[in-house]
Amino acid sequence: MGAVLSVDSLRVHYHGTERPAVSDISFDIQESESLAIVGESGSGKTTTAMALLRLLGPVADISAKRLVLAGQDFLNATPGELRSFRRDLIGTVFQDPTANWNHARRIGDQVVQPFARDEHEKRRVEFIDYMERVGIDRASVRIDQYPHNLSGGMLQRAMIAGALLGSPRLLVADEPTSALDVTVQADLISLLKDLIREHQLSLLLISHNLAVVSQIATRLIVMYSGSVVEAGPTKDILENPRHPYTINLISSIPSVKRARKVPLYTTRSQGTSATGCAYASRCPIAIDTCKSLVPALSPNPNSGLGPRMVACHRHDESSNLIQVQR
Amino acid sequence: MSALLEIKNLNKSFSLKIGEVKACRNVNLQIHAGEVVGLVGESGSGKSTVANIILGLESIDSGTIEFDGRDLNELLIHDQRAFRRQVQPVFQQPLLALNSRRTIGWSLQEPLIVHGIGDKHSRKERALELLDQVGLSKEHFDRLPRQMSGGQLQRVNIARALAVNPKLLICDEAVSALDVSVQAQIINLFLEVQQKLGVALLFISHDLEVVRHISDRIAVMYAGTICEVAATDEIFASPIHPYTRALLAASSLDQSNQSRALDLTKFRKEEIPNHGCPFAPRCSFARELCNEAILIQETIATGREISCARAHEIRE
Repeated sequence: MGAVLSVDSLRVHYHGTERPAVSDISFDIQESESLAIVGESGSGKTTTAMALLRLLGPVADISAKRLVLAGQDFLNATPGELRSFRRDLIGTVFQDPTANWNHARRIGDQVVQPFARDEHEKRRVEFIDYMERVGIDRASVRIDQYPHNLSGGMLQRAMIAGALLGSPRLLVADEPTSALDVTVQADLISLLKDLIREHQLSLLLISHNLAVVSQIATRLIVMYSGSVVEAGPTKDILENPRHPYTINLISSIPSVKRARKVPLYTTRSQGTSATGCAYASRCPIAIDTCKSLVPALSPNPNSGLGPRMVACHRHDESSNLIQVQR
Repeated sequence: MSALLEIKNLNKSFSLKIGEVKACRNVNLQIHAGEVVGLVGESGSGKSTVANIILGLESIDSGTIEFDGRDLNELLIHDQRAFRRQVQPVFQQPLLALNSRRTIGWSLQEPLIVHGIGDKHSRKERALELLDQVGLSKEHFDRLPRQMSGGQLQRVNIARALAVNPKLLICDEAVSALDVSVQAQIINLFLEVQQKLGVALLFISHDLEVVRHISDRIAVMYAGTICEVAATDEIFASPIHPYTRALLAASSLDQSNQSRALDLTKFRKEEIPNHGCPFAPRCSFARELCNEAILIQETIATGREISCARAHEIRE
């Protein structure tokens, strides 16, 4: 079993900004594995996904030691090669279902467009089949409808069905459930799980919903201010977070297990520190070293579920110093 | 104890191309002074219609709404300003709720001008006091909305709603558009405002965890009916209505129960019946009588109301 996606030292710097939006991120996704990236708005999680699909355009500089997807070098590919790689290897589901459809074209025409003309009929049949599987009723009628004929939840599901055309190796899903009701969300999660199992599909999930992430992703990357602060098995991280940011992130989410009406954890100040650890100015246990020296992402004791990395000078003692509130 | 807001047998339909949609069917709901009532349900269940009706933005077909013992229709006709001073909204999109070409300071003083409160000097004082109350400072007074973050703007919207000292805030998905860490700040602010100022909140959200955290009581809506109303802890400990049970199971709250209680993907909105229980076609407890029975929201225990023909059986 080889890695479907292999990213080494990915760096993205938007033009005209001081700091890179993503700095030196490395990760692999194996076949049939689902990896989630979590973090607050602006932490670089969507930028990471867009950069590795090479969808960012001329607004940013992208560099990496290695960016290989299903054996293809995405870093040095020509625009023509990239288009065919994206069509054959990747399915993408974007955050806002209404903004990512062309409202002037029928949904069926839009999803078969990337494929060769003589394949269109075959792809239409495939699309109808997937639409039914994601729970869109009367799919053979829907395929010739326009986006405004479908509700937001249905457009989101149609986008997922379209992303599965051509049996991609990797599905990149950016907040696929944030526009959906909890009940529909639960259905979608089990559908994605089935697909991962049946089609040897790999999943890169971008989300800030830790409940969704915990149900679907086997491994987790926590990003803060463009860097990975913690990475490892999802269960491990959520049950025993080590980085102060992860601890506080979990503490800021209302949960059925915690006392009601008590204030949720919030950070004291905003912003990132210029030198040292980016979280230092908000970190409750920052020491002098944190303000001057950037902590390296270093291995943490393995609990048996898989390797674990944390970027914190005080990772040995953090869980004793800050209580997780949940 | 008489309620601050009392909705009785409220009905509201919309005529759309696909036919008549019943947004509220015999809705009964009370909100007491200083209380936080959570309203949950899937999209299209009628939550926002209830909010808009309470705010006087939507007319009603039948039923009565009393605010502080006075009929809402009467109030809207004869004493609209006085009513609007008591009930204020906080909406989902903080940026869209503010005038993008006016400063924050102006937006905070506008309700005072509209309601004729104070003079130029005291209004500015009040605006600064409000900024302080919601955790912002006087440097934000001259800012424009686009110069502020979503969390800060939602603070402004809350401050603006509080400007006229209302008794009730209607918060329609007021934290849904915010990032988790910012969401935590705004939830804390709502709790603080409620506890310090004693203002009541109707907190509408599809996020059960958020609603549970903030609410004293929770009302669950489905297809225009209020399925169940109960104290927060009770509803989570022992949901009775089959829809409430399905909702709690489907949400991530119950991680041990991964089996889906409802196969919602197979269901179409058009199939919601206009007679009997709207949930009957999807309900695993449904019997013949559910398709016929006139649904009433009945009180089965103190503070606990259910709209289900088989509530007593299910409870046992």
